Amino acid sequence: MNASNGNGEVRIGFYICHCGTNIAGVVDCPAVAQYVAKLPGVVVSRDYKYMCSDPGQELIQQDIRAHQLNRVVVASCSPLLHEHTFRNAVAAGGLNPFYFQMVNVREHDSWVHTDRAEATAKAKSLAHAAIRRVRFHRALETTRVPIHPDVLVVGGGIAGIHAAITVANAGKKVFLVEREPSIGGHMAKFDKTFPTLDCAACILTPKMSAVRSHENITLWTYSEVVKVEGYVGNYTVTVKRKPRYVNEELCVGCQECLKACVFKEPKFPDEFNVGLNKRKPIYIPFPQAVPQVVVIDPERCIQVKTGKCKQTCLEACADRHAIDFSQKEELVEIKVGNIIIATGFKLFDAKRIPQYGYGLYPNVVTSIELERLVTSSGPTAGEIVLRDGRKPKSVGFILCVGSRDMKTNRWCSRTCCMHSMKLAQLVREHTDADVTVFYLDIRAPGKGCEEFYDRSLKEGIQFVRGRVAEVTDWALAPEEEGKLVIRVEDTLAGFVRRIPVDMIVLAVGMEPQADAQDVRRLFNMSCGSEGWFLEKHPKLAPVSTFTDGVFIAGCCQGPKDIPDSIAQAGAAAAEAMALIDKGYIEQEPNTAYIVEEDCSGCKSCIPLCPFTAITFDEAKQKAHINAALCKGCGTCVAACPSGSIKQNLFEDEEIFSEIEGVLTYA
Amino acid sequence: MDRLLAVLGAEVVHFPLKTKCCGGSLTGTVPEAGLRLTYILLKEAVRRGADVIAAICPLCQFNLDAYHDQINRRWGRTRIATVYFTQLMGLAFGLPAEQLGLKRNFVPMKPLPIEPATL
Repeated sequence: MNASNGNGEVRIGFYICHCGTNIAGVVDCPAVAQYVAKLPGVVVSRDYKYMCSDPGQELIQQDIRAHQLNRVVVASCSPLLHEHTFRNAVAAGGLNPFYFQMVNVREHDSWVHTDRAEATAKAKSLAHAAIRRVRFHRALETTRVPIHPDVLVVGGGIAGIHAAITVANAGKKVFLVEREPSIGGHMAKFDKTFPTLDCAACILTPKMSAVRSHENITLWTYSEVVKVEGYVGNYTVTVKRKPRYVNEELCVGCQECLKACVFKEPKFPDEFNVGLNKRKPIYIPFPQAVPQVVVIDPERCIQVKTGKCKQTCLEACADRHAIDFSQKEELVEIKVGNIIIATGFKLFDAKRIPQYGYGLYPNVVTSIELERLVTSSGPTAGEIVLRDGRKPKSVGFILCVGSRDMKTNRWCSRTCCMHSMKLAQLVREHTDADVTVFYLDIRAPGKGCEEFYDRSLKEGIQFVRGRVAEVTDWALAPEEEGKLVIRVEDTLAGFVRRIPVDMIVLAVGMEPQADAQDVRRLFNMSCGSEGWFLEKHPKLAPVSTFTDGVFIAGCCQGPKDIPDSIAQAGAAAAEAMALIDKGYIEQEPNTAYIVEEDCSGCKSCIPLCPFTAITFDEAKQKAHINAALCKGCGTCVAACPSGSIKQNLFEDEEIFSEIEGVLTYA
Repeated sequence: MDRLLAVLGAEVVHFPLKTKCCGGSLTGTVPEAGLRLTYILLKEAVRRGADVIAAICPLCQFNLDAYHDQINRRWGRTRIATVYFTQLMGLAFGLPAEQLGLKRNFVPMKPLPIEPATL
């Protein structure tokens, strides 16, 4: 480092950026530069069109060399955007990068003011404050913390699966934790995918098997993350492994136990088939389940509930001894460096819109129920039938159920238009029913999707534009008897229509998971007002969160289709791998530290730290701050009764001189 | 109201017309239109096997109760009582019919199949 970094004379260089007309349109930049030039300690004061450009940064470096500058202040945009840029420029000029201070005259000034004279005065006062502050800056060093190379993926839907495989293929160890007994998520329930009508199982199951067999992936199904501690590169995660009462290593999925269960007939709603058929207390979630291992439902199994069952399943399992009623809930602790959250979505509960009669009229079904009906491995072996077994002669699809609706959810769920058109085509394929789709707008923006809409029109599917008012069994005409009548204002034709159909399909939208708030707190993420996990930047950091080392992928971030989920999963995997392969995490030096001679050992600060970075040194009877854990929030600094906690870059003299700078500006 | 009356012991008939208009003030100003709306509700309630219609609004109650003569003359015999849901609550709580004003209707309510609980 340059000798001028020392405590001698302070030589400040000041630069105000025009940002095109973003700043210069409202603030008189040359006037600010002229004002600052006269302040004590300022050696160079300039205005420039784009400070963040290469010539702008070069200007700083040249001035540092030519004028022996040892402090630099740039007045431009938000530090979030370019603090790093300018710190790097200062470092390239030979100065410690923390001799730099940034003034935000764009977001805090030109963008929020219209009066040129007052905005210019404000820019001057902010610059004045920074000039006074920067004099007290000290040389600081960033610290490097090694990064743990393992990755945790939470959620075993298509996004989680893809993220796990991508990271594992790069040679990193992955823990994939899934709450349900099998991975596969929503996609496993689909028959075909739009717009290509690919068989969903045919493209998903190979990926599911790959997870199971991958040497770098540890798959924990029927498990949940319950505790997360640490920081980027060094997370300690506690995973709760729920007892499935079946040893995963020993079970081969022969399902002899299912036949032997004391429940002769399946009696309980099958979650995978959304309750359309029944299962036993011991079951395999679905034929392609991964792992291919049975599971025992603790709520239904007589042995688990009462301990008084004949345990015929044990006999059927015979020498294999896979069934184990002594299993207990287990807590496993793992260390990982990065976490990818892919916890997905839940479907809107159609009962919340009572006028559509879901739960009241048996032949009003949701889109996922029809999806199971149309699947050849589903409860009706691919037959689309009404509840009484008849084939429908007419089917109506109601779109935007729980989407684009001020009364329920305001957002567009993005996939239901295409999903409904896919189901409509499959209905046409499987039956000779007339199909009518009731829509607000058809949103088919994806690749090949508009073409798919065209094809739907050509195949004779009727489209009626208007939000359906109600579904009723009140027949007004003989042809309506025994049917469900859809009442809708056809907004293209301009009148109210009554359309009788046999079956109604509600295209239910996507919602954040019921426990999204708990998951958010667990991983220290943010949620938007709707409850979707918030990305760091909607454009430039779509899979990052505000917590370093925690990434989001798939529908937990917002509704999206399979290709978008896969794209995000790949992006999240790449972001995680970029951190891992760098090998270390560079930590900002804006951490708090204890002035030991002043610390009285009162321990007030210890419970206040949100990051558990403060410990108590019993030998010295002093508090100690672990800089690697400290996030620089300043809580302890403010709370310390003896003022013996200080924080780099936020020292008392820096803050006070900055405040004085604003107040004494003239 | 469905849920309230159900927990009070009534068997609530599924009635999709529960939010359809009773005719409002049209029964007085444009009787052809208003009475037709009233008639649709009465006919459908009878068709679905209801013993009594429960109402919240005084105008609904009046329209559905008071125009039976005119409706019967126009469209044939349709007869069903309409009372306030609060009157049915009173019955469930064991109050006497007289105190509940049940005898003041144009179309009296059928006697209950079982004795209401006494306080």
